[in-house]
Amino acid sequence: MNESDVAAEQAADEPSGSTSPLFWVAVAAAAAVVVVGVVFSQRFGSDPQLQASPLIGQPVSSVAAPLLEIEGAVDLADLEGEIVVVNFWASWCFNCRVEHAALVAAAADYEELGVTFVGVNHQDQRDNAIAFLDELGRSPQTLYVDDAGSRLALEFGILGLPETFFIDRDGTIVGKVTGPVSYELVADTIDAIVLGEDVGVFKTGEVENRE
Amino acid sequence: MPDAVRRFLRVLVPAVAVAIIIAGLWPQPSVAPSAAERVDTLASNIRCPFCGGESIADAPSQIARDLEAIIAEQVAEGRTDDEVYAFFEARYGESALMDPPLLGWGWVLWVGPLVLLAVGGYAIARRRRRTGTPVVVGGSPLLERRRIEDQLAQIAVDLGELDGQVAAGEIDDATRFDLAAAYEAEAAPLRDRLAVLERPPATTADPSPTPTGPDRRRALIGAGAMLAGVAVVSFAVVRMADDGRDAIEVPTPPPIDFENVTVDELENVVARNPEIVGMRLALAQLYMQEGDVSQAVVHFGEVLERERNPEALAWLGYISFQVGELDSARNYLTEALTRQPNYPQAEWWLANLLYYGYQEPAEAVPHLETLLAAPDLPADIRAEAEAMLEAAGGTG
Repeated sequence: MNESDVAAEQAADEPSGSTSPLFWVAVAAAAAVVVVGVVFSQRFGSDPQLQASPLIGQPVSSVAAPLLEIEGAVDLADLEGEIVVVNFWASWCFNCRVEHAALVAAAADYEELGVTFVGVNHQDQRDNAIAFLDELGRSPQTLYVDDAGSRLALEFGILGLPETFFIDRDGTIVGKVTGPVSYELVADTIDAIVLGEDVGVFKTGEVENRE
Repeated sequence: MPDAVRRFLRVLVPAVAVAIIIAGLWPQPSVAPSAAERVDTLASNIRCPFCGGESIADAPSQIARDLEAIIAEQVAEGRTDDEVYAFFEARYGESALMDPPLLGWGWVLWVGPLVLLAVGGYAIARRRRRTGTPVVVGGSPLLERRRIEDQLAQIAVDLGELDGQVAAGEIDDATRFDLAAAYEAEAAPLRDRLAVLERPPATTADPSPTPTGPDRRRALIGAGAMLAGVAVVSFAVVRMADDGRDAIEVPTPPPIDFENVTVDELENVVARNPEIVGMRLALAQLYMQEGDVSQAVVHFGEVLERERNPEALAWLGYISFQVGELDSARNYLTEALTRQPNYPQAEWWLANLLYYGYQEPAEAVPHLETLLAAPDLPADIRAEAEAMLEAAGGTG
């Protein structure tokens, strides 16, 4: 205990004083207000869409999704051995239009390298989805599936459209892009997976939600 | 109202209030909820990730209904509530829950106000005990004065009525004096209290115009403590924000530089992706650059086991030529050209093989001519090829 502490004790024991305890209560309240302000400002600054997905590094779950245009179903867990690019899209999503051509081109170019593209049609009308593919072109190398019951969306913890995930040959989710992808981003990410490098999480734009 | 009743109420009212609060907070005896109730509770406690912060139960969108159906399915499968929460947390992180648990520095926000409340309450109680200065919470000194004045007035009236009661024969003299003494006893502390209340707030008995000595030091210490407190709490808050942000990494895509990739790196890639011929070719050529021909031969051989790749064939032809295996060199290079006609590299090596290896300049001529017809031939190769063609007696 140093000298000033002793002085404080003495001072506190004196019945009369110019600074009342109420003053300190007021000061503490003011400090609390400052703290709350700081917390809110910090929180508002952060982007909840950019949270690292807790799924990165996790194995892909086994969920069978029906193919959109033909009979049959696809289970991502069955695609082990391939690099898989899982893209969530819908006809009502603007940025899905923006990125569509890049995905079609990448699916064609990377087929030989053993890369499978899966286009998950999420929260959409089947007719609208097919009209979207009729208009913008369908990739012959891509498996278009229907996200029945939003099961895949939940498995991948998506927050809106478009989002794209990358799965390595061991069936581990290694990368995620929030917002529209470019051809370069898809190509670089696949190359990184082939080379065994870390991929991580990117954000290229805002995601959209259906009302 | 008699004093005893008042004193009784003074204890009873706060006691009842505390009892009500405790009863409200007491954990309910758990009656096992039905499956539907559990689904409702779970859906209310889990955030709908698409719905702007609303819970799954509250959000009106289709995906919220889908997620509710998934919860119902999991409940029907016999999962516990904790398992369902964990399922959503595993996919959306801590923010999947409407009330995130106390993690990192978040507890400061929860505990801080309680600490402040306790400190404030202690300060008030201490001041009240020590100085007797009226510190009225939820009332005012003025009201207390009014109340005491009313009580004193009532006592005066009661005293005045005693004479009348004696005259009416309701009480005798002895009782009257006892009652008067009792009223006086009741009035005395009230008068004292009133005196305290009526004392002017600025105490003339203790004039201290400026805070000096201990007071001033106390103020300084207090200010320092306040600053330290704010600093500690701010630090906690910033740390908490950082805790959240640590997870938010936005790495730039790693650029892939095949020029500078090392043999080891490429070996790893090839080992993981043994069927990818392009990677293996790159690795074999890297070994060639580094002068490790035997390793290069191994990988070119692996390529050929998977497909008759012209590039691998050409390289194996070149290597065979270098080690004096002329016939196998010729076979490799010829096959390379069969599979990829006009392949400049193979044409050039085959020409060299025929010219220098077999000493048959004439046979090299057609290959040199094909090679020189290629539009994008490097200048040094073109010059060498033209010189060789001239020496072989072909048309330059």
